[in-house]
Amino acid sequence: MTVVVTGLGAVSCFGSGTAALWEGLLRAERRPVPAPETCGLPTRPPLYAAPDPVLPSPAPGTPGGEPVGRTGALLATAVTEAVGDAGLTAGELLDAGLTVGTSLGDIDLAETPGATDRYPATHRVTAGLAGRFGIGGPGHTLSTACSAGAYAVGWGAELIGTGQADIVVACGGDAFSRVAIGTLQRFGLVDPECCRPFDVDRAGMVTGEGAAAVVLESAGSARRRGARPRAALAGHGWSCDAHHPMAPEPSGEQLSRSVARALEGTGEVPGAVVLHRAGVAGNDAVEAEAVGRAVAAVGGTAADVAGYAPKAVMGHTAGAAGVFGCVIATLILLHGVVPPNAHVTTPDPGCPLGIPLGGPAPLTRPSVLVSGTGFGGNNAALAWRAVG
Amino acid sequence: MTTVITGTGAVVEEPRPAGEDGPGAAGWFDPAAHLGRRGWKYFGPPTRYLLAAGNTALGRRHDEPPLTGGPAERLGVVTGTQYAIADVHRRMDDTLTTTGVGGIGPAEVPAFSMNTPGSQLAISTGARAFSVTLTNPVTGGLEAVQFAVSALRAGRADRVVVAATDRAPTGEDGREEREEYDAAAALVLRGHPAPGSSRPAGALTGITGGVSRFVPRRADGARDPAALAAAGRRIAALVAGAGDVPLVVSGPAAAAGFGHAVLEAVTASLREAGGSVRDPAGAVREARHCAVSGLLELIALARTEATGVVVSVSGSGHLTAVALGDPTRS
Repeated sequence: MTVVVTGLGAVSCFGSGTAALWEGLLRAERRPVPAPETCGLPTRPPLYAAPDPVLPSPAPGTPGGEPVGRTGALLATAVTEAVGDAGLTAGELLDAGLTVGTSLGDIDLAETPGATDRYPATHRVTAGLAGRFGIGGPGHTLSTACSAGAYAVGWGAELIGTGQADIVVACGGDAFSRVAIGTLQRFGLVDPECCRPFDVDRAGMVTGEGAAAVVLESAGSARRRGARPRAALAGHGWSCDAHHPMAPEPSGEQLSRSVARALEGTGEVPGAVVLHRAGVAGNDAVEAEAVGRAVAAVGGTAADVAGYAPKAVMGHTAGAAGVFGCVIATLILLHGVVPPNAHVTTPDPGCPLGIPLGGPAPLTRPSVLVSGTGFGGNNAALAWRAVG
Repeated sequence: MTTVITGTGAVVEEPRPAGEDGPGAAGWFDPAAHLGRRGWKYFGPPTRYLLAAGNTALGRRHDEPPLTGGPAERLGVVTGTQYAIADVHRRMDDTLTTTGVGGIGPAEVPAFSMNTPGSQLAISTGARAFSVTLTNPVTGGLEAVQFAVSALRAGRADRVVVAATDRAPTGEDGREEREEYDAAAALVLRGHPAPGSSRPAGALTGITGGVSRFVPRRADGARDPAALAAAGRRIAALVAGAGDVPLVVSGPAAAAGFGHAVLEAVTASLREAGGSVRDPAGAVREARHCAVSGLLELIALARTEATGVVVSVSGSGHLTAVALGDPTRS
């Protein structure tokens, strides 16, 4: 069964909307700002901060109900755009699925400074969205660390492919967390300047805030609704390193296996790959090699595939990253160009993939791969193909 | 393709009368008895519980080497949890705001990620098909079953360890007046070749399917009756008009009303389809073990019945149902 994308939504450091996201990616200039003074850390780490979200409208039936944190509000912003873009009616939403990738959920509710009002139930974001939008089908929260968004999209497609839903809103979101950034700082994993994934002098990741959403549906459902497909999912693969709770397996064998399974669906070499690449040298190298091997296995040459690392200009958005990857892949297919990689002085000589620099590069083949990895070696890859 | 349960395991902190809780209550679980003398010191309680339950379900010793090669790539792990990071996150946040980043110890870092218990189970067993963690409150454990059944049917694994683990938050004032308790549970699912073939030795019954729904509230705060009725029909469809179906609905005390409404909706839908529930006046069972609760109910039912339905509901409006069915029958 073919699964297509019929709606997109995003809120990021570029502001609300996929148009703002695409414009920001093309400009390739954005740098992080210091985290808010109230972040509670002795040195304010760099952060690709999202604008303070404004909840689109009150959720029905929830006056005085469970609190909504920053991640939940960002997600509501992205889902509002995607649902509107897809033209979904209330009746269609009542039977639609909802898959949410998030690492820490509404963690700000647990990181409040007071000792008595901290809220431990941080992972209620899916219920908040389902209640707000009246989404009555299967609603699941996936927390596979930084690949959660990629899994949310993959699982959403699986729900459609197995007949458990015709339409699924797949989304991902994460916001600033003192514990997450403090921990990364503690172990020297934060680049104090900016995220520079393709620069030989990269010095770590920089976190970002945001949420992204895609409306997935069967091609038949889109046809019946008269919705315009923007991209089709050609395949997706999962694997687990089963190696270390925080570090990737050095050979990248399992990641390559998940990419190979995703590419099985296309039967062709992708024109570009939206990488997970976050500026952590060891992880970046494992991913690029693993993707390169999978590309070679379908008859391609890694250097002919445009590698793109959006985290350079929007930071690592954790559970949102994989969904952002899918939104960006769809935009690349729609526009026919790959945005330039940013903040590169000396390109990483060890990367086997092509590295577009300086300006948008033409997409040479009509399919785009998205790669997601996370703590615990949780790998997921999705292959998207142009439609129409 | 249907599936068969080839093993189960659980470690459960039993609720105590008021006044018997407190720091000493943590002694209900002896890690060394389950995990040996070494190797678990730096794991948080949710991870320790999960390893104990997972190893039991797989019938493996804690010190057995992980799988490798093809068998490893065909074994998956799905874990439900809602509070895996709550305690450690609060402790780390306190450290950051008092001592600073230098106070964070390397050993506790992985514990701030919700997937760490499931990932450690995958590492320990060598599960390389996938390791996915589902974090909806209460229903996460049964959602893991639904996920695993879909993954098996999609050919993403040959066997899946379906698990759930939780450590109820201690709160700011200790563990007095607790309504939630610690637990982990696991079952191993594998595809059953075909009706008519015999059940593997030692196996319980099978899982025939699962369904998740969300029942939103209307503007007046009441649960949407149309969504509730639709959920009832979907759940009843899992057993296709069967008669005398054991039906277990569980939820937190605060969601008892919602649980009753779900029970009634399923009973009505099943009756319309020509079937029946064994005990239509049955009570909603209180879910006291967070996201593990539904999985504990499923395991308990599978040990005594070949068929039946277990439903887990949350106060937020999520519900997940899983149906048991004899895999040797068509």
